[in-house]
Amino acid sequence: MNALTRLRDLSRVIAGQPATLTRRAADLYFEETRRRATVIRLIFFGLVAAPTMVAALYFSLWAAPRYVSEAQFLVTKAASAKPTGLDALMKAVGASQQVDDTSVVTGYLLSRDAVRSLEAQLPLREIFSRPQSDLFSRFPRFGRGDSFERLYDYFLDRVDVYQDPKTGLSVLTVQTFRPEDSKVLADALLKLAEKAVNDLNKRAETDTLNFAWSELGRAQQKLIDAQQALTTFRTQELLVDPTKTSAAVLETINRLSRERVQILAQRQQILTSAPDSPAGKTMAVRAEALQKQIDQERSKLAGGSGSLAPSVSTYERLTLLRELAEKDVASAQAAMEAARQEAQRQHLYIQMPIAPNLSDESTEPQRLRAFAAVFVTGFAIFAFIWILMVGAGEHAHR
Amino acid sequence: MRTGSLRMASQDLGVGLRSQVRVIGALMIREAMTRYGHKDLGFFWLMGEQLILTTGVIVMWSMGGLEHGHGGAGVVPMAVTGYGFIQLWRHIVGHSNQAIRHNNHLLYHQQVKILDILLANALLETIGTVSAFLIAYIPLWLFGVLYPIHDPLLLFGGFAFTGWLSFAVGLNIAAITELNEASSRLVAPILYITLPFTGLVFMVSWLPDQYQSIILWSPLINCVEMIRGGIFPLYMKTYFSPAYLTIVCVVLTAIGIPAVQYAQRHSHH
Repeated sequence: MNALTRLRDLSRVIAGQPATLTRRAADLYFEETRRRATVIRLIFFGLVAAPTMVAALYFSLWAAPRYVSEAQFLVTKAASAKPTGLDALMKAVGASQQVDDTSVVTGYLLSRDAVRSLEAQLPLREIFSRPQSDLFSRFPRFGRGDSFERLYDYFLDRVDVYQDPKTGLSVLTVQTFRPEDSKVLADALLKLAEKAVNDLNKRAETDTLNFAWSELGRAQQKLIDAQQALTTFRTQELLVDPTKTSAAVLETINRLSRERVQILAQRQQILTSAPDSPAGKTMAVRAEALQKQIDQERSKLAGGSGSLAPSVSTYERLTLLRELAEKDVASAQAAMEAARQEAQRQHLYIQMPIAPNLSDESTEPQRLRAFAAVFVTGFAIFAFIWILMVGAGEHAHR
Repeated sequence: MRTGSLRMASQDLGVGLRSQVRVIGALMIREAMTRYGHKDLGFFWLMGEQLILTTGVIVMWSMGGLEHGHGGAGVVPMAVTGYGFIQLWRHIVGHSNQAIRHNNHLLYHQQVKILDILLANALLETIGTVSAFLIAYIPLWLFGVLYPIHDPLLLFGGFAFTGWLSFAVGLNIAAITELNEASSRLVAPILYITLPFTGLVFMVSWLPDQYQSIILWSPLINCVEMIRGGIFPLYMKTYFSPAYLTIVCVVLTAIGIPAVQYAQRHSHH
């Protein structure tokens, strides 16, 4: 209702106006649409037409050919333990210890350290700026410096390492402007990888073995100390083995007691048969003497200052310590052997089923593909902006 | 004489092409307006939807502590690449269901052909999806949730193939549903049944070898793997064949265009 009246009002106004004014309104509208079309055309030119043309010219006439050298290697352990339980499951879904070992190597190959080592043995900057290269693909990049960081950045563009999850093989690709350069660079990188792995092995080995060595040394020192203490004790006490000595004393006491008991029994017998026999008296004296002797021997064993009992206990403590130390040494030796074996087992190796190739044809840049990528990307961004503009434009005309 | 007529013919072709481009552009804007209207965000809802879904997925999965997902592919990259792709497929195909009947009123214009309508719809969906993807992608990439695009050709090419494939399938569906009304009821269930074969929630490389070669016959899988191939790093292998996709799309289009024209002539509406 409201709209209808408004429309009627509008038509009245338009009818009342001179024809030039309505024409101006129409012109204004057309001008606006035309302006929008011009803007869209300009954006199309800037994002799609011009970049695609430039890309076509650059990739067809100018871009320097690059030669790819590809190598594949495998990082393996000497003998990996059989996966069990969760580890087996992880292996089944593609995540395993081996991936970690490999990523150490691939990570190293793409590190600043690797670039620095490469630079020390190869004219890296020269390789990346051969006369065959063009202005935009050579190092230093157009309008950029030639600092080490830039070199590293450039290196990352030309060298790629990734692990194929299916085969476990790591794929190394190197692109330079000469096939020989690519091969040399790939070879050098693989040597570096090998060296990195060896260093890693050496460090792991020394780490584990060092600990075992120090354990063994400690145990051996303890054994020597125990032996030393025993020897000191012996020289001090003038005894080789107090337990044996005391056993001998005990034996004597035993013998004497037995003899005494026998004599006492004989005397009893004699006294019963002939109470006044002089033999009885002699026997009593002998028994007395024997008793004295027994007491004397007993005091040698225990009680008094020169008795054997304390030295026996010290001696036993010392021998026990020595035995413990001996066991320690034995177990440390076993641990040492185990550590050596484990280190051997954990040894990483680089196997190289596919050595770097010497390419005889340039495969980079992929000209048609790069051209298509520029076109498609430009077009996608253009479409994105176009739809935003249309959305916003229609929005304004609500 | 001959050169003159050739020039005339090429001029005619130029005029025809230009008018068709104009028609398709106008149809796209009309389509966008009718679908989202002028109110509130209007057209930008197309992009808003994707952002909302992505945010939801991130929140849900990080609450579950599962951001890292399977085989190194984060859930967010899987969701962002999968969602746009599946929406594109379902919208275009779903929209061509009985498209001739639904757009009958437009066909009274002499310059508007049913093919233009379907093409405009497919283009609008494709551009909208790619735009939505970019809008969702840029902040997520800046926050480090998504991988950087390492091959834009594969990414945009994958979307383009998805659009083309959906358009080509849509042509056939438009023709079939026009000729046989009952078949239009089957479109929605079939779209759901095909979901497992779209690679929405898995990657081909997760499957055992013997299934990989089977599932790769599905052109949709090829499309989504191509999209992912443009974003996911190299160590996450993707499998697709642009040649196979081209053949499938060309064949489906070649069948679809005459089929739609036949259906339009023989429809009773």
